[in-house]
Amino acid sequence: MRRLLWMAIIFLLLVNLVVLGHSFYNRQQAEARITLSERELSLPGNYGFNKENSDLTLALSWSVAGNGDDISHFTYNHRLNLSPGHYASFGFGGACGQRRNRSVTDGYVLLEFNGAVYQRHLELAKKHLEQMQGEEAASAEKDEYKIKHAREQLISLEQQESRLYVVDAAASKVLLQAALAQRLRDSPGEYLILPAIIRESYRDCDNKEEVHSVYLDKLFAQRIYVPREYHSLFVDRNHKHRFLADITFGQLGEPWLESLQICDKQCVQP
Amino acid sequence: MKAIDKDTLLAKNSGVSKVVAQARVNQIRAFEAERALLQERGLLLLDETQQRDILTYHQQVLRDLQQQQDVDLTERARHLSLGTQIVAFLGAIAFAASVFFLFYQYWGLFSLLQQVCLLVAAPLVALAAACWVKQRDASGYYARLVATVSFVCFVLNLVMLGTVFNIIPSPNAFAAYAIYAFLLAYLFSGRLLLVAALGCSFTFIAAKTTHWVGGIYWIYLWEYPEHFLLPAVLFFALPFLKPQRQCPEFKSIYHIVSVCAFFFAVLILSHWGHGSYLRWDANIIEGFYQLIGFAASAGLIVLGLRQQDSLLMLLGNICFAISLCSKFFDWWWDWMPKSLFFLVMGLTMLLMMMVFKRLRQWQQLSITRQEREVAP
Repeated sequence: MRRLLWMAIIFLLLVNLVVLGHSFYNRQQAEARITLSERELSLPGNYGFNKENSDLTLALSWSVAGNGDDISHFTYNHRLNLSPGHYASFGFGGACGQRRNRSVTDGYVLLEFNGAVYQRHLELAKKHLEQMQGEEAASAEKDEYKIKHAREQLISLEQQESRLYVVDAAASKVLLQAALAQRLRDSPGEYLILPAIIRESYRDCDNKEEVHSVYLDKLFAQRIYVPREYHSLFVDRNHKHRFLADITFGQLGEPWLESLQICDKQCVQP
Repeated sequence: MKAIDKDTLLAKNSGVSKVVAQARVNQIRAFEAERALLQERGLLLLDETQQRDILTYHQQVLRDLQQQQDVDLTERARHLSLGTQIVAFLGAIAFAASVFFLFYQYWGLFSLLQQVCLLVAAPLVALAAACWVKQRDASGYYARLVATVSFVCFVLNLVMLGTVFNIIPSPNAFAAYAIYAFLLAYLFSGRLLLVAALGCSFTFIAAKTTHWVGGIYWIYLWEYPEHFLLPAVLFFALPFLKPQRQCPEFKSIYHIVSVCAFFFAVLILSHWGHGSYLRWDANIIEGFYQLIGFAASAGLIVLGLRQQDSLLMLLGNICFAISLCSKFFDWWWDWMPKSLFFLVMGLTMLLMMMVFKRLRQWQQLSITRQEREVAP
């Protein structure tokens, strides 16, 4: 019995040592640094169990870069078209007609912050609003709701929604690093490579075209813990604060909050 | 009969588990009742000295067992102790929830260093408290309760460290939970802790096989119930391969948890073939797992008969009945008039009763035959 007790004590200490060592190793070297705002980092709701929760985490908000000229591809799904090489790196079977049993694996995604994809999304939203207004002017029937919705969508995109877009994915980080080098030449900006869960997309058996698209289930670094020294900045959790947060991603892809400042009035958004 | 040295008796009884001690008490009580009956009918003649020696010996054994293992000496005490067990179980859950929400409520008020120190210290302090309580309480109820709190503190320890340092979730955490729960279960003979250890082990093995066999990310381990079949078989076989001498009551926990996991997985697959790795038609997969369900439950009944283990037989019966009822529902509920459906169900149960009665007769006959062979 005494031996079991010592084993339990040593085991507890050993596990904690491994976890703390893991985190220490991650923070030894910063892989990426980025400044995000409340548009990309949302506060948890202050209701239900959360009312009693004294700690604070920020959830990372992101979208997937849509393809073509359809604005709904940006908004409503997490489907991402890949190059044949990047798609093949996941080793998905590519079987058709399977709504269930689609493979899910871990891989890496390339995220672009406030770059060309966001600008394209904005342009599409503007074009969509103009198209709605044009259609209404030409038609005898008035559809105020559609125009109002398109206008609100544009305002939300300009002022509130996340500017973080997943633009590429692959099973290995090396593949994405090569793609990033190419992308930086074409459109310089802020990029991140982060681990994520990626699902094989559904393919209809009638569709004979080769499809190289995947669904992004979630990012591993979905939540970022806010240390105690910043809690006082969010006294009223029901208030929608504007802030800037410096986030660093370590060598294991795990993030931490470097600094945070509330900028309801004075600071300039990136 | 010589006077019994108390120290010798204590030495003989020390180290036995509570289940073994309780069995010994039951045996003594049964012996006393049978002796009284035989003496009343004139079949057993003991002189006064012999009677007194036996009585003194038994009283001393009972006293020692009561001191060491807090066994129930009467039927009424047994009922009260069952009530205590239920209350202890509910208490352990309530304490665990209380610790969880205490952390939840005050967690954000501490600095990073304080948080880490608190998290590392919480399970250690609770473990030390459980050991301290165990030395002072022979029943072990309070010690098990504190040990359960220590396990919850350890789960919180890893979960909270993961949150604070934004660590990517890993299935290895379940291996850590399982190892600690096993250690606590064997230290404090805690059945609830063993259930937790088995649950974490099932999750860990299923998560790893999900990744290795299916190439699927481990969080989706629930999408393929086949991952639970192998650990269920392994943990079912464990008490046969390594008899639980220190904690004989653990054998039944291993069997109950493994059988429940196995049949739950088979039941899902027998109704939902798409959740299988087998590359067959979904209907064929469902049929295949229906057969597996019936065969395994029948096998469990046979094993129970051979091992003379009433728990295995009971589990086999329950699983067989559930498999049968679910299939009847699947086949006939929609098109059969409800009166006919329940009539068929009733007749089937009648048939099962007849089969079990036959099995019982067969078992009793074989026991009588064995006794006749042993008797001179």
